[in-house]
Amino acid sequence: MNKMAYVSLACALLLVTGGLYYFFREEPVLPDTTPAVEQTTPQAASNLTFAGSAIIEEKNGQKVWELNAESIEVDAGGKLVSLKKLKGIFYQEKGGKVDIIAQEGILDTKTHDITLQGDIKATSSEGAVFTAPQGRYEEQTKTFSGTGGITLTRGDTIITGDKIDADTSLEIVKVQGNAKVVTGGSK
Amino acid sequence: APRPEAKTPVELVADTIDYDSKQGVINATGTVRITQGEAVITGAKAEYNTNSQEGRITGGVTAVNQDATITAAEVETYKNNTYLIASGDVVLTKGENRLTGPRVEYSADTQYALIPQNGKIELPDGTMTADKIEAFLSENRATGTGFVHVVSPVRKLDATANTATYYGEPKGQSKVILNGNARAIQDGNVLTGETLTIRLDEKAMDSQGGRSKLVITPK
Repeated sequence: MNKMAYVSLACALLLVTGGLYYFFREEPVLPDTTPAVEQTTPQAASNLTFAGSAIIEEKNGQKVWELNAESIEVDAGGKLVSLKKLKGIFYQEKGGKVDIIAQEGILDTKTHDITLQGDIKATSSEGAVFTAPQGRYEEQTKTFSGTGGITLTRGDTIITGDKIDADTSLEIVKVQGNAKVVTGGSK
Repeated sequence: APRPEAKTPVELVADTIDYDSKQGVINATGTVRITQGEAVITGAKAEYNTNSQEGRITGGVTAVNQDATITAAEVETYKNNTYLIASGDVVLTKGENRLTGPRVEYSADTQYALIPQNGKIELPDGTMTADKIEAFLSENRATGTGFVHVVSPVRKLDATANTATYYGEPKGQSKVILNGNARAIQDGNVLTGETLTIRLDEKAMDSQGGRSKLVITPK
C-alpha cells in the first residue's frame, strides 16, 4: 500500500475519533450503561438510537433536569436528540420540582433547550398544572413556554390563553392572547 | 388583610395577563374585563389581587352592577367588587338619578354613594350641587353639605343653604329641607330663614327656627 493510502487512512481515523470525542465530551452526562447501539445500514445518514434511557443535566453536582423517554434518537451531527413519549423532571433551586410529560421532545445539545410537542402536561410540586399542545423549555432563561391554547391551574385559580411563558416553578406567568383568569369562589 | 370569603368566582379577561401566584397579583392589559356575580368592570389596564380581592382598573373604565353604571378614568374595587372608588370625570347613573364629580365612592350592597368634593346629583325633581353629596339611592334620598344649591325648573325653585336633604319618598310627597342660611325662591317669592322645608308636590314652604322672612312678588 503506498504512502498516500496510509495518510488518508490516518485522516479518516482521526475524523471518526474526533467526532465521537466531540459528542461525548460535553454535558449532558450520558449514563455509563450505554445500551448496544443499533447501527443502521452504513450507506444511509446514520441515526444513533438509545432505547429506554435517560439524559440528565447536572450543574455543580446538582441535577437541573432529567429526561426519560421510550426512545431516543440522536442526529448524525450529535446536535439534536429527539425523544418519544418523554417524561422530564425539572428541579428548582428552592427544592421543588416540575414533572413534565409530552408525546415528543427535541433536545438541543448545544443550547440545552428542549422543544416539546403533543399533550404537554407539567405538574409542579406545589400542585400547579400546566397543559399545552406545544411547548418549550429554555435553558438560558430557565423558563417554560406553551402555545396553541394553554391552561394553568393553581389552587382555585385557572388561567387560559393562547400563549404562556412561565418560570420553572409555574409561579410567575405571562399569558398572551385571549388571556383569562378565573379565581375565587371555591369556598 | 385576611382573605375575604369569595362568594362567587372572579373572571378576568384581557389581551395579556401577568400573574404572580406567590403574591396573588394579576396585571392585565388590553381590553380588560372583570366579572364577578352581577358586577362587570371594563377598562384598558387592571391590577387585581386574588388574595385581598381588590383591584384597580384604569383607562376609560365602565363598571356596571345591577342597574348602576359608573364611568370614570380609574376605578378601585374592594369587597369582592361591591365597593368601588371611582375617580376622574366620574358619572354614576342609577335609575333616574345621575351623580357626577371628580371622585365617587359607591357601595352596591348598601346602594350608598358619596361624592366628597364638587358633587352634583340630578334627580327627577331637579339638581343639587354641593361641596359634598351623599346619596342613599335605595331610599331615593340625598344630602348636600357645604354651599348647597338646589335648582328645579320643573318646580320653578332655586334654593341655597349650608346643608340640604332631598326626600323623594313617599311618592307625591317629595320635599327638600334646607339648613343654615337657607334661601328659597319659588315662582318669584323669596323665603329666607334658618331651616326651610319645601314641599315640592304641594308647592308649599315653611320655616322653622330663628327669624325668617318672606317676600311675595305680586303676579
